[in-house]
Amino acid sequence: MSHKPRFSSAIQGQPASFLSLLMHTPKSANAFFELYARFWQQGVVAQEIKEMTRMRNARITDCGY
Amino acid sequence: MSWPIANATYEELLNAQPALAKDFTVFLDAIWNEGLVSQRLLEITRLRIAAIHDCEPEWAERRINEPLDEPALTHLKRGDYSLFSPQEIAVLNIAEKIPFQAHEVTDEETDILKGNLGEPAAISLLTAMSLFDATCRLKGIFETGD
Repeated sequence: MSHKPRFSSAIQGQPASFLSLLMHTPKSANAFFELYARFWQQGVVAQEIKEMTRMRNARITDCGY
Repeated sequence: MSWPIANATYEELLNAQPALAKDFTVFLDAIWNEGLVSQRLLEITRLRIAAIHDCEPEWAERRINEPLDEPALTHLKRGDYSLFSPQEIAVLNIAEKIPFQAHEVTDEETDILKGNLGEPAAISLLTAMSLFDATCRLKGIFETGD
């Protein structure tokens, strides 16, 4: 697995990060951010459960991010 | 698995949270209509990922106006890329790994993708692959058959 960014930042002066890479595709990036924000801020599942599953999934998929 | 809504479709289950479903649809539409990646490239990656997941509902769908012909579909389903262009093969080589071997995508493979498509299109396509993978997983859990 690579440990260096494979793409450049789309935001001048900003380092390559998940967010700055996504901004190469502003339309889908903005749609993703809206979806993600709603997922975390609204709904019927407690945030603690969402966070628990998110972290467990990250562990299983070996996602350091 | 049974659901509170008897004989529910995939869409009906998603619409149990209508605002979230709407945002998900907007995201999906943005992926398909960002304009950076051809519809054909998106479709072949979507179908290959569906085949790897053995997700019949996703495989059965045809999302583009000029669908792949039967020989291409047959080859794609079994992971035979001999009917596809070098650019398409470079894309499919990555799509092959997304469901269960994402960590094994190499720097060389992403460099080839960037070289073929440019950075914005490569990122758009990789984002799309992740969404296609997630959709297959969700449909697999829901088991609505559609």
